[in-house]
Amino acid sequence: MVIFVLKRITAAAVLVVVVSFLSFVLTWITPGDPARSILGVTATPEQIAAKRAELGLDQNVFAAYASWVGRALTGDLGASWFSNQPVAESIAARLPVTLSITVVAILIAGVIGIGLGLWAAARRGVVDSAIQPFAVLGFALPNFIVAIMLVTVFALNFRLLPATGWVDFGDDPSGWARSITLPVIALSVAATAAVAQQTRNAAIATLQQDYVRTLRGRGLSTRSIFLKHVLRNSAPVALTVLSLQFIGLLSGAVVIEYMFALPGIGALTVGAATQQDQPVIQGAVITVVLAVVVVNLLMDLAYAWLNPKVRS
Amino acid sequence: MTYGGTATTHFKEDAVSSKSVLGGIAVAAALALTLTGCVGSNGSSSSKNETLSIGALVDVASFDPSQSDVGHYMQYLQPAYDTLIRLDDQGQLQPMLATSWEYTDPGNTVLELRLREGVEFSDGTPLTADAVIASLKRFQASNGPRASALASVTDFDAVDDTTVRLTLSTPDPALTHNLALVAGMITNPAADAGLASMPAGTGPYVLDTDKTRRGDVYTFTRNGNYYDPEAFPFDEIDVRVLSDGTARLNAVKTGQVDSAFGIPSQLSEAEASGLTAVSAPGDWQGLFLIDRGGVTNPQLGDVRVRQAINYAIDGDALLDTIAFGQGAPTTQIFYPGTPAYDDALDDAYPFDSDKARALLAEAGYASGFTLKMPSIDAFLPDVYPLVKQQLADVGITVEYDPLTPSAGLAPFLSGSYPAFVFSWGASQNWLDATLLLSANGTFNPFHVDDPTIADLMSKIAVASDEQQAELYKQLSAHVVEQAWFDPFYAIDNLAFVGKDVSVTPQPQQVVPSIYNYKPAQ
Repeated sequence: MVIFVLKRITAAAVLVVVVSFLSFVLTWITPGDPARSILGVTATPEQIAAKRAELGLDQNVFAAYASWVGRALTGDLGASWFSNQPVAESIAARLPVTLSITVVAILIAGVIGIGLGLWAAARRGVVDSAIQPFAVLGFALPNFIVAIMLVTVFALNFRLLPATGWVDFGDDPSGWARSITLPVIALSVAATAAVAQQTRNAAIATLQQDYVRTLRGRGLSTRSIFLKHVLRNSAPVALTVLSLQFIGLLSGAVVIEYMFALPGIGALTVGAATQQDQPVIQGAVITVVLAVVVVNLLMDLAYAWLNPKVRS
Repeated sequence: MTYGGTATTHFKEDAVSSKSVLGGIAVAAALALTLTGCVGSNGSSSSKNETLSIGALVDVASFDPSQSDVGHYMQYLQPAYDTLIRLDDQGQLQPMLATSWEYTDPGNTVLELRLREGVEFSDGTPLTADAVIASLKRFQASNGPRASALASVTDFDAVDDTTVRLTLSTPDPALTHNLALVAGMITNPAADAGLASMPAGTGPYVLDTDKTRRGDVYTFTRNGNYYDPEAFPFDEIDVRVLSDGTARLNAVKTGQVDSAFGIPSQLSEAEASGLTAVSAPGDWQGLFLIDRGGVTNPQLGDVRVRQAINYAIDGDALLDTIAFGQGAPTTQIFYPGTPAYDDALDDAYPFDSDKARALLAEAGYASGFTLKMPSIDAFLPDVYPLVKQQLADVGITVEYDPLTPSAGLAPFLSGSYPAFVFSWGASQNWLDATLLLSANGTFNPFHVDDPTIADLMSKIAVASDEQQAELYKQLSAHVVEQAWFDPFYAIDNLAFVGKDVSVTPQPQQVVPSIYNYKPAQ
């Protein structure tokens, strides 16, 4: 197990280096001049040149990357070229916002999705036929369409929940819960549908196994069969779908973040990319890569725990 | 061995029983009721603490005025900083930190400002002439977006504790206007280092870091040391970052903000929800025909061709299509209501394709020519095909070069294209003339030197106010006649306002100044 984790950490380090280099180079070669964007319409060419020197844009790309790496290794991710806010500070402030909505959305998707999938597999018939089209619809509907419908009904017409805004958990837990309710529902619909469908299929496949019939014949209760066997055999599938959905949501939540004015990492990244705010782009990219690596590692560990055959 | 047909086990007594499903639903419903049951206040204030909440399009760039641009960013700076001179909601200069100012020499190169007495910075330090000069020098030395505002000042003198003298290398009619913007925001000399994230000025409010969340909401609370608190009815100002247009409108509708920057396409929806729409003229949008010397595109060097382009484009129709009629047609590059703006010039180029074709034929281009221009999908996307179609009608073939938004301003200002579509925020006449018309103006990339323009501008620099107005109008008439540009229309700046406040728009500024907000009666 230790060697397994060490191998994963090494692979993660290599991944971070490669991705950070690629994103650095891509931002560098994108046409456009951040110095001009910062200084605006009244700036003179001399000012622009001075700004470019200040930002380090007059070096060659490898030298610039090397100096970025040098500083990053000491923990200094620099500051935004546009807002002057330290990158580490802005990511530390914004990551919890995105994690709040994505983690809660994934938890809900997991609980409801697995529940619905198992229910459909157990009952079949009418229940299964009813859940299938909802699963397809839920997966096909873009999350911002769902969000628009939710906002129109619950925020604008009935004033039950806020249309925009983020409340910190530390400031007001119930305010926090209210501010994430609509975004989380919008984000969880597609994930729930995907999990439900995959769980249903895996559960049905398990139920078709000979040993399940044997256990039933031996008098094992339905509940035991579901909890000990069906659930355990469907779990890896559900976990895979959930982890893929979570990774997609880390950046896919950006539209929801814009619509609900949540100061999350998706909005930060998109804004930085449009302006070519290099320090922020690098910081955001590394954060997401690390998050993906952690999620994959956790999923592999959970998989190994659930299925002893994998542990060798 | 299999069961018949579908080889699946059906269980009658269900592990996932209907009871547990219904139980789950009941728990969810109870949770939902708890969440929505506490219908708390949606950002509105209690009667004792008047709060103004503004929805902003952009996040703050820097709380250091020397590193900040104007426009949208003013609402982040005005709470914490007073300016030497204030622009009122009619666009007129009013006293603020300076109670009076005048040019003491006939050449308009020595400006003396008398400072208000009894003013303190937010930390209690008194405002003196030395502090003002330190702030101005710091602004001039910084490489910020508006550093050119003080470019003409060569000497700063503290004549006495409350008098500042600025000596200029050349007359600068825009100087007093600039002292009403970021250049005139006086920063506390003791707070040089951390100004980018923590403002330190003499303004009516201070930034409350406990309630502020960067990228989300910025809260300003009263400055106890302010000299005129009665002029500010609000105890607290919140500026919320709401970059998405729908989110911004929803925030005003639900009362989370009192007023927000609006876009024309939302106007009918906003009014249908009972909001008030407040507007003032804003950017003019049109063509910059920058290669008026005919260097890369010989056709544009002929004034008849440029005039033909002006006749060929139907500004009124474009206004209705692009801006839902929220604006006014114009032929001029200057801001309505300023001395240079001459209403008589608005009829100079009525839409007339025949006249356009006649002018082109007269210039020798009856068979037309090709015009290469950049296009940016994210910026005025509907304008490009309409311009192309209307110019095609008179024989001019437009070839667009698609650019990404990240390309920024560089392609426009490098002289790579002979003309381009642009949106220009006109403000003070001298500022616009310097940037757009003078030979080394940033937006005259081909550095075309027109003797009439140069002559008029040198006269304006030393003229009195009354003479200036007349000379400016001559300048505008000349620019219109020479067709250096083809303005289609001037779009309106919109603010959507809820029931709790009233606001007047600010001329020449895309958002209202914080001084223009009052609680509704």
